[in-house]
Amino acid sequence: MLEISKVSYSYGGNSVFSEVSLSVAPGSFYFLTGPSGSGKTTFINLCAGALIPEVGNISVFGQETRNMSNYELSQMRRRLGIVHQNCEFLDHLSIEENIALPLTVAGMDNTKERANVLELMKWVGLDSKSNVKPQELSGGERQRLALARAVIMSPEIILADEPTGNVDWEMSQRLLTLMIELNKMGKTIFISTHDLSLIRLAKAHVTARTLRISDLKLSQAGADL
Amino acid sequence: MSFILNFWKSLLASPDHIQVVPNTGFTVWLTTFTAGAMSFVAVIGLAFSLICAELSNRWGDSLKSASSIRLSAPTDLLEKQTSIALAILDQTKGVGSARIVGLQDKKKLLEPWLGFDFPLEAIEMPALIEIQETDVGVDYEGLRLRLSAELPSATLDNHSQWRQPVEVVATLISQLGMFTVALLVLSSLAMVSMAANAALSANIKVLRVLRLVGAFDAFIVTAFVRKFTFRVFVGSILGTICAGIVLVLMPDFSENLGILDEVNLDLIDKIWLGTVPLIFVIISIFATRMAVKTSLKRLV
Repeated sequence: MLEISKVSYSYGGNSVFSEVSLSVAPGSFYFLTGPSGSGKTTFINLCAGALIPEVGNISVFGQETRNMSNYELSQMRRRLGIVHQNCEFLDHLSIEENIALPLTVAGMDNTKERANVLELMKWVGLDSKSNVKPQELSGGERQRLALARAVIMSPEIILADEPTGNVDWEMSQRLLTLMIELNKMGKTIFISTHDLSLIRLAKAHVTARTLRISDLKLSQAGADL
Repeated sequence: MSFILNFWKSLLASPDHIQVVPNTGFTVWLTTFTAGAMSFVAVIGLAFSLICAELSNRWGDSLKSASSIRLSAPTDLLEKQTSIALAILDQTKGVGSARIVGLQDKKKLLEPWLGFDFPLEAIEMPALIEIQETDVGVDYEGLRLRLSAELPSATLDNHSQWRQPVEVVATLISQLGMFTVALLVLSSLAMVSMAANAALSANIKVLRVLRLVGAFDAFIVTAFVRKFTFRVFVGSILGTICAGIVLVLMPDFSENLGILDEVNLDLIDKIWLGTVPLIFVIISIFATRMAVKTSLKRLV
């Protein structure tokens, strides 16, 4: 599903990580940890095809991102749900329209999919704010909005980069619960975080593996912390 | 016409494309104002170019087919010699018409230098015959030989000594007009490109979000092209209308200036001016496509 093979990346000659390898199986739950600047965001961006590895290969759904055209990268992103720490939205659209945006750009904005949007709004607890603009939401609500938008296309993999970085513990728990629910529905979850209590909480409910980015060089499939 | 209608329909259709690009912010006004201002300048520039082209053609044509005979003789002989000259011209092949330039015409010609109340009849003036050629043309060498034999006091002038420089000036004016139009198209392209780039810089987040949710580049390009082209079209229409009003309200300064009389935009010229918004639409499509594609390349 997601194969990372001896990938190296650097910014302006400063190596972020080198020769990182990982194989992600369908339906698994991963936490990626590491200190700030260790390359967690870079790693997520590489998996999402937003960055191309300098050395090595990343294969998503059996296709190497390096060899993908922009069209193929867009197709791939429709099968990925991506949540960033500083999530961005189209501020001129309502919450409902933002959640439906992946459907809109895919030309699937018909009544059936619209019903999914309403369901998702309920699921993330934003159903009472359907006509509100994203800038009027709190940090936690924005993260839930990002999650709802990420899963509207029923992606096979959810890549979340520090999704609880800007929210309080209660909201972190709520977001984690949503992620666990998605995992139980068969989705592969890949979360980068430095919050160890969140990892401990997840492990009480689901079989999650924790990867230290510095350990990935050893080419193993997840040494538990 | 159906092409324009179809284009307009497709411009307004597909609200999905249009709604992803925000409709607010200074860039909306920047794009519309730039298109309006450049269209205004383009219409005025094009109108003057077309008028100059017509004027230069008229100069060339009027000089090409006109010549004159000047008769200098004592007053008592002048009338007889004029009759002989008219008879010779009547027999000359290629002469369409020959007319004696009367005292009032002479007064009008000399009015700028002598004033309207100068008693021209008090001084001895040479007789002047204006000749208009037919398409066949006049054998000036043969006519000159005959006049020198039968009317030695007659001087034939086919305006060749100043026709050539006037024709050169007329050609230069036409070329300058075309150059001005080309320059306007290029500067409009540059201005619309700059406006599109400024708008894209302000909307770079929109590009990032659309990429993130899996929008194809073609979708993003189409969304921005449609939105910007609509703004450019509206601005261009407004600019063209304003320029049209200015042209209509312009005073008829050419009155009584002879060669400038009735120099106006004809129907074909007006159709050309009406194409300015369409040219801006084409410019906008081209410029916005380039700008969006460049921005998308920078994103990856």
